[in-house]
Amino acid sequence: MEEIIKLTDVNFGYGSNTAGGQPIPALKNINLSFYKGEFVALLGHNGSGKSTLAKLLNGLITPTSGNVEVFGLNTSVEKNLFDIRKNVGVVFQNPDNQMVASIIEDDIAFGPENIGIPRQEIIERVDWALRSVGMAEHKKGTPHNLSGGQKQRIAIAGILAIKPKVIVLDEATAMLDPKGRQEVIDVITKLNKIENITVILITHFMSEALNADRIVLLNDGEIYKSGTPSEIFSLDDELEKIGLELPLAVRLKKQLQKYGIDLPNVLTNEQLTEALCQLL
Amino acid sequence: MSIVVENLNYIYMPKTPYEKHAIKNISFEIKTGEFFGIIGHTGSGKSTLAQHFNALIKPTSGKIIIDGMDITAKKADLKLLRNKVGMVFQYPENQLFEETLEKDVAYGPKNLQFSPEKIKAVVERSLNLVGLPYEEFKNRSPFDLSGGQKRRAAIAGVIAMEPEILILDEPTAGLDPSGKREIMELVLSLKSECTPTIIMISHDMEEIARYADRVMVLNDGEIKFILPPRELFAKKEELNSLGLDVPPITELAYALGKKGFIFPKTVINDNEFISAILPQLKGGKK
Repeated sequence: MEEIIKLTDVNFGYGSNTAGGQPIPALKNINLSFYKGEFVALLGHNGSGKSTLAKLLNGLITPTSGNVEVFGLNTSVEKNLFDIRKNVGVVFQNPDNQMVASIIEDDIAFGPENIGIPRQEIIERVDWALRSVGMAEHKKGTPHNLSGGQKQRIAIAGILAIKPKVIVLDEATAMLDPKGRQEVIDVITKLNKIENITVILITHFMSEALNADRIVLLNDGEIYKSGTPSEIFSLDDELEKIGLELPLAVRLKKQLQKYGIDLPNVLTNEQLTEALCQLL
Repeated sequence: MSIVVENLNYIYMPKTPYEKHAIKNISFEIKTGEFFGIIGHTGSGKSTLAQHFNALIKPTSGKIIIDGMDITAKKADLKLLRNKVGMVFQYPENQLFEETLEKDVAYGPKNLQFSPEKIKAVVERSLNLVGLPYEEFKNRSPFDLSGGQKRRAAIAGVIAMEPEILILDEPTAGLDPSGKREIMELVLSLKSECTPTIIMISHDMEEIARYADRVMVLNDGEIKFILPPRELFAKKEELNSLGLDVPPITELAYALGKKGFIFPKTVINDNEFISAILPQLKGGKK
């Protein structure tokens, strides 16, 4: 698989300019790569460094030491940033902070206008991006009347219109109700599968990580472990020690085991249902 | 300390093109000592309703009576009311502003004109209660705390006003699983030690199932149900049609029920699930 983002010995500290204070390390010695077409979930407790890592991926911040390379371009070199940001888009937590225009189609056009796309193509991209997130009928509407889930889908469309190869979602579902969360997850899963866009999903919801190709666990600024969802969720009690929890199906399988019921490896509720039906 | 709501209506921006009837003629009662949950999809009127309870907004029509006092009356003593009803907003840590935790938590009591001795006592007690020991944390900046600690500090600022009713608007949103657990344990300990009546707005049905005595479902400004969690979550189809889910464990039991498993009552937690399913599995204890 093609390696598209590579972090080498990355350290990052906040507050290096505070009077006399030592910088507070947020990330320590991170070595991590992302590959084309992957769906990676990044999990970790509050303050584990997830959002800091997200900001490093398109050069919003640059490492205190070490290198971040995006498609071979170093994020610490300022002239690379324009090309890096064309390829890596970030959706943030608060939907209300990400709208720049009062009409939705203008909001989506903002990105492509900034990178100098010809007018006719902008029109096509706006239509395509809105269709991709299932918001085509809202083209002429205003963002204010939308639900949180719809606003985040507009934010994703705004990024799509730049045609990036990577989309990073930094707790983009944290402020949404369950319905809105599901809308966003459905849209990014589709973009990953159909458009082959690499997705890096930062979340506190274990259920959102179950279908990822890979999970990276962060703990106190360091990579604790990286692996498939089955590998990560077999860590069991260790997950709780680093502030996370087991998904429902894994938790129930573990409890049933105490009563002598042995089930095969299950992650999702559907898998658990199927396994239980075998024992009915 | 009870809350009685009678024929409450609230209209945003009346007589403008943006007019919105957010609360539609609702009546209900919350009893002293209750843990009362409020659920509903985004825009159903939950937060609008909650803001009425300490008179941050005034109803277009209708009455709210808290502890016998009509807070919607023209001459209502709002200072006394805000002393009685504590409000923890969404992402309350965004409202921390002072240089030290001691000053931040003292802000509310100062505004209520507590005496200096009393202020010191309530600040100390509140910080200890939320698990940020006073001696250790009083001089720390609220901005140097972790996400979960900041939220607890913000809750301390509300508790310090010694309210008898605590309203929490999505108190665990955005926290990691252990942060969520800590906040909910804190809410329970506050319920038993200082504010007996709790009103909690939440999108997390697992939390609602676990903690609420009764749950109100709001939809488009109207009350759809007020029921204990188990009775409410038995109405899966109706909740789904309102854009709401049942807790994941209830959903799972429902799916297994369709495959032939038998659940004598609506399952709302892990233990109930395990004890209902064990006797039905080959190799399980009968």
